[in-house]
Amino acid sequence: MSRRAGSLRRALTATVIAVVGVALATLSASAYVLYSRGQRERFDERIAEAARAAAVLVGRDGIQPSDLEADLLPTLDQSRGATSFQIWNEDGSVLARYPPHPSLLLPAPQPGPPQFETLSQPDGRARRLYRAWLGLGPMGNAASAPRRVGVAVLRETAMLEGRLERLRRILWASTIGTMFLSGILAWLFVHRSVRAVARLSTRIGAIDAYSPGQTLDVEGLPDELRPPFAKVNDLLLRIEQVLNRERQFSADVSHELRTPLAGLRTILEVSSFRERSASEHRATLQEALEVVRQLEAIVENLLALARLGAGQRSEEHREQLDLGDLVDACFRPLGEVAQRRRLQFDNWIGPAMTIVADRVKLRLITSNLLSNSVQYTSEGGSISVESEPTLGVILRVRDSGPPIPESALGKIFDPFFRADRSRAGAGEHFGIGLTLVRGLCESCGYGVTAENEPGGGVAFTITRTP
Amino acid sequence: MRLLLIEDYEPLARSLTQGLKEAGYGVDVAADGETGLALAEKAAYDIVLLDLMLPRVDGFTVLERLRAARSTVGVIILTAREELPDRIKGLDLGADDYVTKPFAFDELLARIRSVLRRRQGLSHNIIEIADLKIDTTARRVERAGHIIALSAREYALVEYLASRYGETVTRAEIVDHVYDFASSPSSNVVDVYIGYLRRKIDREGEVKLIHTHRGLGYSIGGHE
Repeated sequence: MSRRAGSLRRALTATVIAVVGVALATLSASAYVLYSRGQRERFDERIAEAARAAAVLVGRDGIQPSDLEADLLPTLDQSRGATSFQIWNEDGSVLARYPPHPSLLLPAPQPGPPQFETLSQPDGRARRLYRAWLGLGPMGNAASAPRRVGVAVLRETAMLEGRLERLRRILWASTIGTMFLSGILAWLFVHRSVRAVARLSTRIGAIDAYSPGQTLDVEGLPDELRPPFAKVNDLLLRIEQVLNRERQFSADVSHELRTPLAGLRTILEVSSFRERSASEHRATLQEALEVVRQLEAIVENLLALARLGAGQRSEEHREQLDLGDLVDACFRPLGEVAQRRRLQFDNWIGPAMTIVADRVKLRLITSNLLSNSVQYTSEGGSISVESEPTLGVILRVRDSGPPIPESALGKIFDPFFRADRSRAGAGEHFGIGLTLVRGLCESCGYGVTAENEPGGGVAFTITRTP
Repeated sequence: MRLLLIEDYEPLARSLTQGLKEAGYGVDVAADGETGLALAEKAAYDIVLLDLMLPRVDGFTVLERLRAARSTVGVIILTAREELPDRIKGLDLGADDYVTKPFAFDELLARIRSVLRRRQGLSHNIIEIADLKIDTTARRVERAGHIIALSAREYALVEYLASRYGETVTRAEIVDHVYDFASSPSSNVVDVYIGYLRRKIDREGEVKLIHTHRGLGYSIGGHE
């Protein structure tokens, strides 16, 4: 089963969206992680700073909790209630607390390094807790020994979270928006290319099957799509050429049939022009029959040619043949015409000469060569046939007809080729005879040549090798 | 009327010749363009029936040479080539008509008559001289309403004389236009046929239409 490629437009658009989406999401996620980490660190730093400031304040002797609150709060946060803190003496007694009556009691710091933790509390608001034992340092009363206080600061993270939430939204929106936009752009871009293809397909659909030889305009097509359409142009042109050849062939064929048909019609019409005697009728019928035989020969040749042309491997029936008999048999139907035109016919092939060949094909080859010679040999001329198997010559037909112009020698085997008015023309009622000879020779593996003989006349030679 | 048929396809040439002769025309045949041109020079044909694809000299060239030699003979091209450019070329080269093969023999006869008529400046097929009526289509001659039975040769003779109504026609001209080479008569055969014609056309008590111009020839109509 072949896989369907599906829609190019959809596939490309989806790919672009996916790639843009993945890239932007990764980028946004990394940026967000870095940014939020930094923000959280700064947040923690500020809590720790506030705690240190508180410790410093506490270090001042004689400070009252209410003053402490007033001094400390601005450094902590402007939003009252968002922050609470508690300060312990070394002995664990509470030195100060804010707000004075908190809804929750802050746990005292553990010994050791400062600790940060995130508290998720029943009211659903996230808070950050900082706990540490801080030295008060040798400030204030220099005489007094350094002392330590425990500080716990709890601060709501709503603002930070809000900011981060906004950032997340912006990143999401920009990622999705960019994906959407790039999808549209990709779609439009592909659409443009595909539309050019669609236009071409409309053009192709509108091509007249009988004259396809027009070129499709590949301008406006993406580079990748040009070669296939250039090939289509090529193909159309070749089809047109073949069609033209076929058309010409049909015209030539109908042409070929017209002259004998005209003869037949005139024979019959003239015969019925007035009352005739029985012997006159007999003569007319004889004449008509002669024309019918010519028509048959033309049709037989056409059919044989069509079979060759269609590449049908017609079966070879190779058998032992008496060459001399075959030549005589082929000449017999031409005898009457030859006699009327006082042509001398000599068959020089010896009585014992045999050949292994396809009878039907060799008969057609010989008949056509002889008929060609009978046609072109002037009245009183001569035709002879010989065979030289030792030289690889199966058959040579010589006639005393006018020479074929040198330039036309290679072309006389083309269908309906008219060598020269002197040798071809309307007299050529077997315009495909020589074409058929060549085709048959090719199918048998023989060669065929036409030459003007030094002493005048023309020789057609069938050789064993092409 | 005398025709030259230049056609190389033997069966057609043979049957056409027979048919045309039976239709009362003198017919000579050439099987190639060269012979055709030679014949056309030798005799005064009324019409040349010309095939196009001919050995030696093709039909177009024959036509060209005929017209180049100022020949005004009527030319009907008779060909298997039916393509428009060929028709146009043929007519432009000076052919009077173009008939494609295969054709109906009756139509060819009608076209021959049509070309002859035009050459004689007539617009229809009936020539009337006094009370003599010659229908060239039916090949029928009437005098004062009575049909006169004529042989093919006699008809050809009266038609030729009538086509040159009022003019004196020489015996040689009659031989040229009424006979062909195959049946070329001595000039006294012309006199014999004129005699036959006279007996049938100018009967006793009727105005004489066929006149003898001593030492010159004959005429129909006009004056003695």
